[in-house]
Amino acid sequence: MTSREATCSCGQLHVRAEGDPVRVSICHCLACQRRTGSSFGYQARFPADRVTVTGRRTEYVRHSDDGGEERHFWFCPDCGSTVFHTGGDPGLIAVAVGCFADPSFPPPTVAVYESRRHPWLDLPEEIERDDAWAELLPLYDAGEYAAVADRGKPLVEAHPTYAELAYNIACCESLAGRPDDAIAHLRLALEREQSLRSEAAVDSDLDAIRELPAFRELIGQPA
Amino acid sequence: MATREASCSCGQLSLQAEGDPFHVGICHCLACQRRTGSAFGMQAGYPADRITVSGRSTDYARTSDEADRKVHVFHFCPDCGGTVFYTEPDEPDLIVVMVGAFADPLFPPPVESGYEARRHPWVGLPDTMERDDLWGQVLPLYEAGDYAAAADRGRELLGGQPENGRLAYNVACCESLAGRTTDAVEHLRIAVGGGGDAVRTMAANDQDFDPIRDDPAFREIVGS
Repeated sequence: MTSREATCSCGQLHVRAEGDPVRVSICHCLACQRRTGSSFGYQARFPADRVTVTGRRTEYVRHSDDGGEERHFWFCPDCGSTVFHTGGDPGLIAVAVGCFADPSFPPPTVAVYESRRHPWLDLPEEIERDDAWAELLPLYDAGEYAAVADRGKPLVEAHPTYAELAYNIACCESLAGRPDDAIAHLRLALEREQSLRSEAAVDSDLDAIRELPAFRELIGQPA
Repeated sequence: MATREASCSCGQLSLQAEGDPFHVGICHCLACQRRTGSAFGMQAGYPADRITVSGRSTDYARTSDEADRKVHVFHFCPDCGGTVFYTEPDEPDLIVVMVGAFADPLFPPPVESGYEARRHPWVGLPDTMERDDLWGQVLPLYEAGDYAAAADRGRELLGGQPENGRLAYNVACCESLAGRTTDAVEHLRIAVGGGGDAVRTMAANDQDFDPIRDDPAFREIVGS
């Protein structure tokens, strides 16, 4: 299997990742901007059992803006580089792609927090963006769940690799009393992005479908 | 004057920057990639007297791979790891701030893109941005000490990008070393026109200008 080495600036802290990442993404959010000092974060997620970490590291815990989920960032105490983070799906480790120092690293397939993108940065069409959800967010915020669900369905079909969109639409369908649609979109979302499973387990938007056998099966909880 | 605030992730280490930066650039080099964990670094240069830092920081000093072997000292928060700014011991008048630390997508955009050879190919940049490919074409001549050839080639490239301050500065260095005082002064004047005091300071301390240091026009430009 191919393996890649990521290290901090001084080389003290390093990560060996076997095989290709399951997901490569960039994130324009302000927290990623502050952490990197650059205009976006760039992460590659690997199954935790394919990653070996060596060297001293300091942990920084941050609660996400949208619901208090903890993220654990690990940086080198000597040079400050954050090399990887954990949180969300316990089966995955997100490695900061810059630490591989490899311009031929697999490119990102998804860009999130489009609303915070520095406008001069140009991304290729192939990268899925979260504009689609940004359009629906005001309706969601206004509690118009049925309207979001109606408009969301074709968008999910138009953005086949955009797991977060399918997930958010599933939430609206759950809230709009459409359990079958919600289960179908949640299944799609989890197939594309395993790390959403732990979010689904605690997301109150999905309470309406939480007791369904299909939901329990998707989340991996005993019936 | 506009004041902006930059801080690390946890907010412990912060700084206030008065006025606009004199230069904003991105850099694709592998050291910037490792430090940021992202595809490139994005930095804004300020005169040191416009910056007020507060909070604890840990220093990480690194010597540049470039011919000048310049030392950069990166200052990061020991609690969250966020690097907020760097300084250069050789240039006490300069502070360079990591633009991400401003958490402001409307921050003045970069005007220059360095280390194009290391750019992740999917990163798209506007055509208006200066790329450093040009100086990359001259660098081997400079490093080989063939300053006259470097000056000739640089001058030719500068014809297509007369406003490229970084290229003008480097060409001026070559001309100085090649004994072409008038040309060197002309190009240094262009570089200072775009870059201001920081470029003046850089020129005052740059050994490449030793051959023209006593020229009255040079003294006038750097203000000595």
